[in-house]
Amino acid sequence: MDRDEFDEAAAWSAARGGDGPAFASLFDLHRDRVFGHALRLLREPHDAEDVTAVVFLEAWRKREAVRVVDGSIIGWLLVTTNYTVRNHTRSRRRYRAALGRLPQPVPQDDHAPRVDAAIDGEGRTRVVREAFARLSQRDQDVITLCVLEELSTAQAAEALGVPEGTVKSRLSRAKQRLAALTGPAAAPDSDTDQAILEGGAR
Amino acid sequence: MSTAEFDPTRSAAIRQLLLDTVAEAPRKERRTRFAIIGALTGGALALAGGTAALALTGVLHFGAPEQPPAPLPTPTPTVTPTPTPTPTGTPTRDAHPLQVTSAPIRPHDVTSVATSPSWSVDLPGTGETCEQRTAYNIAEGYALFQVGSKLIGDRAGDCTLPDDYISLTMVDTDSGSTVWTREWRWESDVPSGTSTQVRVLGTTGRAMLVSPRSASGPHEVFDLATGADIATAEFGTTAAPASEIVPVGGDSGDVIVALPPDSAAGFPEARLLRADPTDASHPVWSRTFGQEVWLGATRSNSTGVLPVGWRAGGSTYSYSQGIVDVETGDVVPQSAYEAVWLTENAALRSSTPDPKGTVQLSGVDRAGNALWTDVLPAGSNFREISSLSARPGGHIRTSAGTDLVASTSGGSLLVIDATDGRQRWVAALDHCAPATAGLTFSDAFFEPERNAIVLAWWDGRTCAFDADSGARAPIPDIPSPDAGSSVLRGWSVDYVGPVRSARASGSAYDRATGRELWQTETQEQELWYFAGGVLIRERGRHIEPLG
Repeated sequence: MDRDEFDEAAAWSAARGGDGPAFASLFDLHRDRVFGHALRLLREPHDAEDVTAVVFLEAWRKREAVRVVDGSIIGWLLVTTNYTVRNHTRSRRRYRAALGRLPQPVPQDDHAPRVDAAIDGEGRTRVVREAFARLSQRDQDVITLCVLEELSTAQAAEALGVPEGTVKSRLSRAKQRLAALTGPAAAPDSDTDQAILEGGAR
Repeated sequence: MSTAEFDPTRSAAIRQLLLDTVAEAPRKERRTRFAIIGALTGGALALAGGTAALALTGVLHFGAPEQPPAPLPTPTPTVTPTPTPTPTGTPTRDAHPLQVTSAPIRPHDVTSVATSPSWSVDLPGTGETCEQRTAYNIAEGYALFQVGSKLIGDRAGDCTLPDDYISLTMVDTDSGSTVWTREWRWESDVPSGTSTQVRVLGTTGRAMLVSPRSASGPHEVFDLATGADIATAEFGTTAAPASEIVPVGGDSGDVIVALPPDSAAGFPEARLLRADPTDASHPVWSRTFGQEVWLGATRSNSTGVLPVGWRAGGSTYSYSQGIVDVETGDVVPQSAYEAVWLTENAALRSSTPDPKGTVQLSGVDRAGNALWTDVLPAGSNFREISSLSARPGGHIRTSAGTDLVASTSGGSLLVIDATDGRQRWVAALDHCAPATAGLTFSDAFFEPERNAIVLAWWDGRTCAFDADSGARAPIPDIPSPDAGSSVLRGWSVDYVGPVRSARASGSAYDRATGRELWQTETQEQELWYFAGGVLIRERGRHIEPLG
């Protein structure tokens, strides 16, 4: 093994077996991507940080169900981010004590407007983001993986545990639903709206 | 693109939370499940890292929405301890007394692996797939092995029986004799997960079996030497059982207990109290905190300070934190953006007034006053340097500390004495490949044999420094642990042992030379750890020494 090259699958295997530092190394690797996706859905950075914590705690709690796709668990983490955001209150309740032990966020009066500017700053961007939030979990997951995170349909299929053909059909329908929710000119695979939805930190 | 960045202090706290979560998790009995999966999937297990193969069982569902927690059933206490603990081995206490002290337990290295084990013990259990296992270091040559409780809820898999089970077995890990064994069975009243665990009550020779958030689970004080029941410790009520129980430690047998509100019992607010668990109804002190209170540490230390958090009311997001004096119950609130954590003998407070700025690190006393303060560079990663010894009463995966803090930032390592804030030395990390590659160290430990402080990365790489001067003290890297292994640190030997089924062998390496000392075949789901200072291999509920 090239020792300078991070072997994510090996790290996950070690983490799953109880190797805390290996688990922490996966947090180091994927923190910003999970945070960025949560941020694009929530806009509030500290809520996105809490969601990031919950996603990794869920990865540990459900470690035997986490899927490794092409040597990476990022697909599972992103889909779990969707689920966590959708069920924010319930997720926080499960981990409230743990989250309560984290340092409280420093009030940053000028932070949210900057995020809003990034996500909502142009025309119909708020409409698109809110339309995304109204999609079903399945639609959100397939849009997240195939459009926002640019996984291949094969990778998304493995991450979601469905045939590749199912991913393609779900993706097509999800795009149609998103377009219907946002208006005739707002297909999510357009460069503009993809950029809108990619408003999180990376 | 947004300019929002992850708050570095909250990120570091989450990272530590994940490390703590993994360290505190009992291991789960997976033998049966893996056997089923293996039969179904064959080679797919190896090719797909096991996870894709798991899906073939149809038992594990990816991303399945969880059901909201069901209301707690009205519990019926049905704890049924075995009538009288019966010693099932030949204790050798005269020559080898079971006495809990505060002295760390040193690991005894195995320089040649035994062709056949000198002893073996089969721990009692139900054999169900959701049965967890764990162990606690009790004293030199003694460890308490726990089988159960069972996982409940979405991780329980095919384990659906409503009753719960736990066994405790005290083993003389020098001779292999079983000092005592006890079993408990009860009807579980928790909606998901289980958390029945042992808390060793300082150096009193007593321990407590606790079941946080469960009214029907065992809550019992017992004698560590005999296993005999001393008292039932019921904190809270069946409607609002204790959520957290932390021993005070030292020569005190008291515990700090967090309790939820219980208006029906006359307690409309959450409480934190200190009490002798054998006299739970007469607390030493009790404080109220509104809707919820929790503890920020799983153990106390000699400072008599515990981090505490609470939610007075209103929003889920609105919570406060501070420190509680375990002697008086006095609570000192902390400012909004601080974390308090404990080293072996010190309480530290880290704060970042500006998330992108420097980190302020202070030692604090019981009143929350800063005993010393140091300012660390922005982006610092810091943690206590652990010793290679185990803490008596601690979980087998936790080691004793050193009160030295390692902090890395900007290509340098700073070592601070947490008791007085003195900076011992600063060393450049330019010779340290993983650090120059931007990787954060995953462990830091003090190696007495070479008087070295060693930074370690999860992939097996290390960088070592003279503990007095910070001068480079290179030690050879051991072979990189593969996907199924992890490094267990002995006194002067590193063990690359198995942590999951795929690995077929484990090895031992002289840390000073890097030379492989021995190699041995391992079995599916085998695990290695030190218990009472003795290197143990665990195969399901079967344990035996490697030496």
